[in-house]
Order: sequence, then structure tokens, then C-alpha cells
Amino acid sequence: MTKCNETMGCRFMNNGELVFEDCRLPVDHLLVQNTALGSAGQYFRAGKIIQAAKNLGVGVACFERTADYVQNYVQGGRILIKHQAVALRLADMATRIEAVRALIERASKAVDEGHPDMDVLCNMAKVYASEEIMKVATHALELHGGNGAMLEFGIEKLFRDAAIFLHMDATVDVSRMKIIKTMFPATAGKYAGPEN
Amino acid sequence: MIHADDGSLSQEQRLMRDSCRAFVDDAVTPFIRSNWQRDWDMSPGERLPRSILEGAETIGIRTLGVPEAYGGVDLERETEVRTFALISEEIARGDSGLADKLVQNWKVSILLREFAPKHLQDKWFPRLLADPQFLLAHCLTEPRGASDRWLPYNVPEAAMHTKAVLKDGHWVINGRKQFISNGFDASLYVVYANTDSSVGMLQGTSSSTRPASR
Repeated sequence: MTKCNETMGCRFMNNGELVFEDCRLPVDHLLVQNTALGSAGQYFRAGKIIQAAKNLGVGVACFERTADYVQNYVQGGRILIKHQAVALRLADMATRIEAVRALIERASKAVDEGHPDMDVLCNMAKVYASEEIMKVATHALELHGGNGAMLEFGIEKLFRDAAIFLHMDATVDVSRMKIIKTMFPATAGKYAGPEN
Repeated sequence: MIHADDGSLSQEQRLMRDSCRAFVDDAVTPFIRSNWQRDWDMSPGERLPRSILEGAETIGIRTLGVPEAYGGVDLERETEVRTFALISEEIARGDSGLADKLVQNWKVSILLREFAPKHLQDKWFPRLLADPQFLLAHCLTEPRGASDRWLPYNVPEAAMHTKAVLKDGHWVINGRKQFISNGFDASLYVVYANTDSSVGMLQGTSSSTRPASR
């Protein structure tokens, strides 16, 4: 282990770098020879679902904090939620959260049941959660006004945490490429090579 | 609304979700809210108090994926992924970094459960169970390739740069892994390395366990 990376979010998990220089391991420390990545499919699929679900948890925290705030904080002579522009944003947060939840439930059921669409669905859940919850976190930040920017208020932490999910366990774009390669194996998934 | 409750959860799932939610409300969120400066503590080992992982241990979620024969918690297999999703969401509702820490333990435990020879399971599962601060990590990402490795096709050029070769009865590993979750403080790593550079990544990558060198 050479260092701990200081990250913008999810900072209570310590991300690190490792260097192997003629690192000797007894042969019996082997788990899988040559086909390790294929064998880890069970890990990878569950991993995408778990990634999306953690992301959803951040979104739920954003919603809970914001719903509480806008129903108690008074501005312009009334609590924030009575300002219609605020109420609309809160509804948008709730809708995105429910949509993410629905996809996670469908995808996790597919993985549990070994459904043929499970590879596509778990990548869809992961990438969809990352972008939708980022929007939820942005609403949370904005609805808190200046307080949203204050470290001691804790909303900016949720925003930073949400941002990490855009690339953790695959970037948004790579996730989409995986989806389309899996959906259209004969065209998008086929080795392109020179097209003549 | 907002929380998971579509009426289809099993009793096990409901119990686990409720105990996770209580743990988050009673221990995690109060810590996070009243210690926001700890997020910026530049001594990474000190950021999260030991009591938080001990709390995760108390409600039985630190060693999910470890077979019951080793004293772990085996979830109902037919709904295992759904249950992991429920628990992950609840913990991340308190802190997503804490959820990341725990998730690596679950995922790597499942890998060990599925693929590790018995002598490795006999060695590592008891250690994981004995120490609430014991963390596992999974080393895939490299400076020149991560999720984008899946974009090219399954050809030798896309293989991992970290290599393992058999020499005098040992695997000798050379290379670099970066952006590894729990990479700083894990006690055991699962490391992926190229073991056959003449074939694609799916046919030429091997995994092995590497204890922390601390």
C-alpha cells in the first residue's frame, strides 16, 4: 500500500493505491486461474445493484433532510414548502427517487432469479441511479440556499457523496456502452475491426 | 413513500432493514452530523471511530456473505441480491463511505465463499469474524485501465498490466493497482493479474489473495 487517496466524497471509506514489486505469493493463494473475471460475474452483478442501492440511500437522505428543512424554515413570511417553486422541486426529488427504486427492485430481482436480462438491468440501475440522485442532491443543495453550501450543515457532504457515484464501479459512459453492447451483441457488441 | 416498502419484503428482509435503520438513526447519523470536521481529518485511519464498525458488527451486517459454518450470516440465497440492496441503501442513508467499507467485506466474502480453497477460508473467515475493524478489498483498477477495459474487445491488448508469473513454486506479481476501495486499510486483498498475455482478458486473468503487508 503506497498511499491513501483523499477523495471529494465517501470519505469515511479509505481508498488506496498498491504497488507490487516482485511480490511473492504461495501458489495455494490462488482463487481462480485465467478465468477470474468471468467467474467474478456473480460479484460484478451484485456489485452494480449494491452500488445503485447505496446511491439511492444518499438520495433518500437528501430528501429527508430537505423535506424537513422546507417544512420548518421560514422565508418570505411563510415556510419554504408553501412557496410553490420549492414544492415543485421537492416533488421532483421524490419522483426521481421512486423511479430509481423501481429500477433497482426490478434489476435486483432479475439478478436473484438469473433472468437473461440481468446484465443489462444491473448496469441500467447503476447508471440511472448515479445521474438521477445527482439531480436529487442538486435540488437538496439549492433548496437549502446558503445553508446548503455550509460544511457544518451537512448537505454539501451529500452532494459530494452523490458525485462519487458517477464514476465509482464504472463511469456513466462505460456503463451505457456495456448496456448497448449487451443488447445488440451482433452489431454494437461485435468486434468492429476495419469496415472496408 | 420514499422508503422501500412495496409489501413484498420477507420477514428476514424487513428485520434487517429495520435494524439497519435503527443503527443509522441511533449511531451513524448523530456521529456524522455532530462531527462534520472528521470528514476532513487528514489521518485517514482516525476518521471513523472504531465504535461505528463495532455497531455494524452488533447488528450482524459486517460479515454478510461469510458462510454460517464459519459463524457468518448467510442470507436467503434466492433473494440475496435484493437483501444486499436494502441493507446498502439503509447504511448509505447514514453515510455512503461507511456503506462502501462494509460492501467490500460482503462482496469479497462472497468471492471467497465461492472460489477460495478450504484452507484459505479456514484461515481468513475466522480472522474477519474476530476483528470488527477487519476489512477486505478487491483490486482491479489500474492506472491505465478500469471500467474502460470492457470497451475494447476481449483481445490481448486490453489485458491488465499487472502480471503474475509462476516461479519456483510461487506466484510473482508485478504491477500497480489504484483507486482501490478499502485499499488503505484492508487486511486482505483479492488481486487480479494477467497470467496469459496471449489471450483476451476473460481467458488470461487470475485472482489470488494477498494479506496486507503491515
